[in-house]
Amino acid sequence: MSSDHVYGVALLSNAMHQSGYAPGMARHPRLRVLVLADDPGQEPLVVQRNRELADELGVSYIEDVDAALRWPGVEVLSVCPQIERRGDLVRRAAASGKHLWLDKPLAPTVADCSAIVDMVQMTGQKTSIVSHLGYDHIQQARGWIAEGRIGDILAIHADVHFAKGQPDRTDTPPAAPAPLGRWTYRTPDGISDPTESGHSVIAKRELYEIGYYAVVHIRYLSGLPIEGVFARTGSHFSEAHAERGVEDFATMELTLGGGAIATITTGRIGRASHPMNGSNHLTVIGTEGTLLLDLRRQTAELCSGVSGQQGTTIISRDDASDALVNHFVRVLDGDEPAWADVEAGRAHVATLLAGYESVAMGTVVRPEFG
Amino acid sequence: MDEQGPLRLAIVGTATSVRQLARRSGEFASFRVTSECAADDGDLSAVEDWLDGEPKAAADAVCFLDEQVSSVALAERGIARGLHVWCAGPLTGEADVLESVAAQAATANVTLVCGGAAGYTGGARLAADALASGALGRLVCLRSLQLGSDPHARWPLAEQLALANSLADDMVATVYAQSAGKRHLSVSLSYAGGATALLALGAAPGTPPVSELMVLGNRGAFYDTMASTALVMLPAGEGDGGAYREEDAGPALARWADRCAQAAAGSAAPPVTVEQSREVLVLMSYIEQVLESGEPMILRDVEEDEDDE
Repeated sequence: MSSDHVYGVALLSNAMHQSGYAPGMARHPRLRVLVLADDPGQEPLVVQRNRELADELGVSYIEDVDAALRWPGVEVLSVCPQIERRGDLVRRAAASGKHLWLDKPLAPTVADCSAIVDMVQMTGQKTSIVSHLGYDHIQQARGWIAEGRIGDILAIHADVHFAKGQPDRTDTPPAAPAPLGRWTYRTPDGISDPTESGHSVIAKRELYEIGYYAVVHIRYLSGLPIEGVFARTGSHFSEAHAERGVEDFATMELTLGGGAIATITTGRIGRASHPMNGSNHLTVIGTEGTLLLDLRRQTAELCSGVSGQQGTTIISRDDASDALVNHFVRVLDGDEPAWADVEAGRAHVATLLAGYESVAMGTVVRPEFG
Repeated sequence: MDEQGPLRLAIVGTATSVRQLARRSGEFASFRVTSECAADDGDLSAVEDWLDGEPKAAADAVCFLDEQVSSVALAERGIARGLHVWCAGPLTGEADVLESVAAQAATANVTLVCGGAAGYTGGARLAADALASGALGRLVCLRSLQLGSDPHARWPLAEQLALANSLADDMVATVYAQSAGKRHLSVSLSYAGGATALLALGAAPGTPPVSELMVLGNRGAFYDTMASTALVMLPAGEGDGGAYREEDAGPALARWADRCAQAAAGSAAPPVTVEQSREVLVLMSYIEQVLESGEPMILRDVEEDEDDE
């Protein structure tokens, strides 16, 4: 694709994070947002959010996804519905043959993900799933690891927290863990946003929402498959989560290919619990060196007996969403592979769902596509 | 302890730890260091000679500061001489041996302390105080990362387990562990109340030792990471927490010895009880089993089975 080609974009649903991504697409000189669409019959809050984003971007809002797929000039779909709808809507989008920008996690089940992967393999379009891989310190670390600066990876420890919402947990025993299927609980008024999620949420499954980022980091940096998952979700910050039996915090231990291991702490820990919006910290330990990566303090530190270059790299970070959009355009142009495509997305989903199964069973679970 | 003055302490360890604690002698009213034995080569016979050569009136307690210069035989020798015996880590890996030594100490009417020093670092004390005050609310998760330690040595793991149990103040319900060869160990403890502790120990290639502690409560959090000074985050409006930086292990050892001395004087509980030390040893045996099986161990079931028997 020529470097001045402008890709037409249709936005499919602003039920969750579309409003966080679309402005970056609209600003990009190689992307042009043409329309926002959703299926008819959506809850009023979603319709309102759709209308507001369409107005902000100066595009039409239509309640007809098929029409958006046929919209003149559309080559790219940004698909961001509720998690519960992603299996269906992403699959329909994939079937259209358009390139896909996809909200995270990819879909609610591994079967949904596999159907999407199969469809994409058939149609051959480019895909990219939202992640934090656009941060410079992650890319820097990936490069150092690829160069062998820390040798073989032994262990990764990841803390990814969102310091949002007001913790109000009482001593009331939590409800029994709710079965998977419902991922998000909205506020009745559709206005208040106690979790500070940006889309009027009382409670949502934070292992799936926030733990996702940690799983992506570990898999991306290590390049290793995830072969075993042990997870715990027994304690809460938020009463709304506890009384619904959904987790706002989780720990996971991962067995990686080649004998490496990883651990994760993740969740929505309350706004008073961190000075900079929550830890986003990775310690990567190799046979020859150690990487200390801290998003909040914007540092990547390489300590290595191999490297001639040591010391802290201070990151001049541009907006991560912009970095992701820039990357996506390079993917569309065929200049580089996606940091997280639908196959990686299936592995992330399989790992997270293995975590839920581990919590329920109290055992180590091997993810099908980890 | 002599009511007229501080308890007299004979200390034995590596040159580094002996120097670090001796430098703090006099900072606490409860003890002062009166005798030192540095044995970097781990020559226990030299320590025995030193212990035997000490005038009986020169010390009230003997304190073992490092794994390589401690042994059950030395502890028993100290007890036989009527000395309080304090070991900064686990004296033994065997629970029944610990109980035997504890029985000897009880008969001799001296205190026996096995471990708990890791709970007296500045960060650990700040975290414990914040939890005890209620400022952090109920514990949700703690994470300890100790890089630069041998993951298969007894003391570092035992001390992290003791610290976790102390901060959680709850019964361990589930144990899980993984290791990356012989170089890195990760342990997770789930407590009956739902809190989780993740402990990691291992080599730190290319970097000086890393010691990090994060304590998340449901109303606030505590962070002691190498990226910054310790930071206590309290609920909004309750202050910004404190900051500190400790140069070495001396302050922690001194605080721990102070608590041991208070326990010997009967004015405070020991840093860890023998029963708590025994629980740590049992946990370590469970961790070995988990590493062998690859599956978590549900302790509640284990306890019920034992009860049934």
